[in-house]
Amino acid sequence: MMEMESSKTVPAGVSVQGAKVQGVSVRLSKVTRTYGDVRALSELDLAASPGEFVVMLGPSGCGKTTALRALAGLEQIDSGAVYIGGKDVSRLPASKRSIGMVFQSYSLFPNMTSAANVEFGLKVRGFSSAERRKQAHEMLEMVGLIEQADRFPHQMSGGQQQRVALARALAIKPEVLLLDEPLSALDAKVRANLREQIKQLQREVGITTFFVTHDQEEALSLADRVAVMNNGNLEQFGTPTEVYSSPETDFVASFVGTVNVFYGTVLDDKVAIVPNVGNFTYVRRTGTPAPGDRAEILVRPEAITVKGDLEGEYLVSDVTFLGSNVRIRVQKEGSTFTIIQGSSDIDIVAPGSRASLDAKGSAILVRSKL
Amino acid sequence: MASVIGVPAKSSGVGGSNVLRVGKVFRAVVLGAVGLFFIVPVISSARFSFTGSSAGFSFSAYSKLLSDPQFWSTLFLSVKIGVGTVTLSLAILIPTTVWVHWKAPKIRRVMEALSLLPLVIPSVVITLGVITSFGSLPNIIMGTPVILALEYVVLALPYTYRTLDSGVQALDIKTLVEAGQSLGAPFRKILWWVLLPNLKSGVLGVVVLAFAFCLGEFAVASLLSFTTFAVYLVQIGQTQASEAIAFSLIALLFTWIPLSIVTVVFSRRAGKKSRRGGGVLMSSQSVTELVELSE
Repeated sequence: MMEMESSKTVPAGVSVQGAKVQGVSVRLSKVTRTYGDVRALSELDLAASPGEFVVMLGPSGCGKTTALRALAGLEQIDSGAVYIGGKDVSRLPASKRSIGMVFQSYSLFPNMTSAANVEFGLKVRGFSSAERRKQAHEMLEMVGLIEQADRFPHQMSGGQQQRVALARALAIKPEVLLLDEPLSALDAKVRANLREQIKQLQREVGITTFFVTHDQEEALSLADRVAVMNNGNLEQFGTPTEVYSSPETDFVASFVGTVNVFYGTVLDDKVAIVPNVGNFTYVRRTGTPAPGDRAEILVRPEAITVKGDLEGEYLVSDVTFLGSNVRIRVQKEGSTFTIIQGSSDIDIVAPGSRASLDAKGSAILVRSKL
Repeated sequence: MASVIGVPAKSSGVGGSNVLRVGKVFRAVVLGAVGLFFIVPVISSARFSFTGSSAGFSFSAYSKLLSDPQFWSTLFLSVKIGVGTVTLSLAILIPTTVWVHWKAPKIRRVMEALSLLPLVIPSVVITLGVITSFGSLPNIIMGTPVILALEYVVLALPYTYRTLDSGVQALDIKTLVEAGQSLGAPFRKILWWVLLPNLKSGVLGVVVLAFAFCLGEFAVASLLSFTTFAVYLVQIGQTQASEAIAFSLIALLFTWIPLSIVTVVFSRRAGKKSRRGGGVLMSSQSVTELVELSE
């Protein structure tokens, strides 16, 4: 009825001149925050370039939301500093920082229409009524909700409410946009559409953006750089490709995407071998076992292929059709391995049959056998 | 294939309608009995106030009462105390409940328990405590209606705090405040522009309950030697039966008329708002519930 996300994208050519802002640099410097005995943030260092889209990714309780709230000024920090545009804002309250924020729960003011919600920040800043109305309409047009200007929050779908919240956050032309799991309460289709819109808007507006999520797909598809967090620490900060293909820590390797752990041998500085599967190229880093040593070789599901083999070492336990892909699970000596192949390969093996694996890509990490 | 989902069995449908009919009848009987229980004494009182001990119909009790200057002075005193109590209650309770929900949700249970204390401590004890503890206060508080208003703020807490607390609980205070802050609004603007409009029903509840409490409270006012509306009603009742009954009915009107106005006004606004898309205002049903509670 009111769900219109599927057909809505940011209209090309819509003027965003009112919202065009110059992105600024943002830096969290050795930020620490503890709750009793729990260290939510442990000397966190994180810096974003002007106009960059940073996604903070991690499991629940890793400190990503605390870091975002510290950046917003909604959370006191015990030590360290927060810089926005090179200025230390650590002691400034949230209302004095130039930030726009979209929350996980629908945060629209229930007593106001969409337009009034968008106008709120402008009203606080003393804009005239006519100017407020003009800018609110521009912002609602930008998020494709101009027809909903007179609607109250409870008359709109979750996706629409979050788009209004986005328009409201951008209307004040903040220096930094913060999004705290804004899509987590939405259904999959709306989430995917809104994700695209957020990305497109961020590109057009050019605002430095921090986005918190625990959804890997969301993180990898949105970010210029992904900050993977765990236990209050930054595990890795890099492009989605770097984080996915070259994880720097065991945690990143296991948390981002699916990973298969094979036992094999380091052949030389570039190649590790898994018996009866093949050779995987890898990048050497500190702690990588020496050539000739036994090692755990971590491989993504796309870096191996499966084929039916009556003499094969692996037993096919599951074949799942995923649309464009097919996920095949095989087992050997109690360990399960996952392989992703094109859906045209759905009939290549059947559950209960024997199979063998072949290497076809790189290992993301080679480490000492645990 | 014929669908069986959503097609109720014939027998259960008949049984269901019978149950519904019995339920309706039972509801009507209960409502009728309760209605009679309330309305019969009011009608009898009204009849008595117009006839008194004589058989003829007369307005004498009312005219006597309305021409009594003490009637008006006690009413004015109670209204003054009521306005003071309502103002103080709102000034204390709104920031407190918002703060508790926003910053310290863990102490909600403690606050609830504290707010119920006036129900378990007899008002006589509280009054004696006030007299002995605050006897040395300056004359602008002790010995003036201010002390009564202060005491009523505490005594009305079980009703006022819980009413406002339910209203605040229905909102996601933390997110609303933080959203306002992120948009650059100081707390007072968030309170005025966002929280209060969404707390209208709770605030209205506090106003109604605190005011009704002040109009009807006898024990504390009597112990502190104030002749309030309720105290004067008791005094008259000891010597003039018809006037006392007329007094009670007028007191009822003083409560019902403003509450009915509030009910009608808010029902209309709520209706308009929901047609336009609002809906955060108090519904007529909840106002009616409050009216019933306050009586």
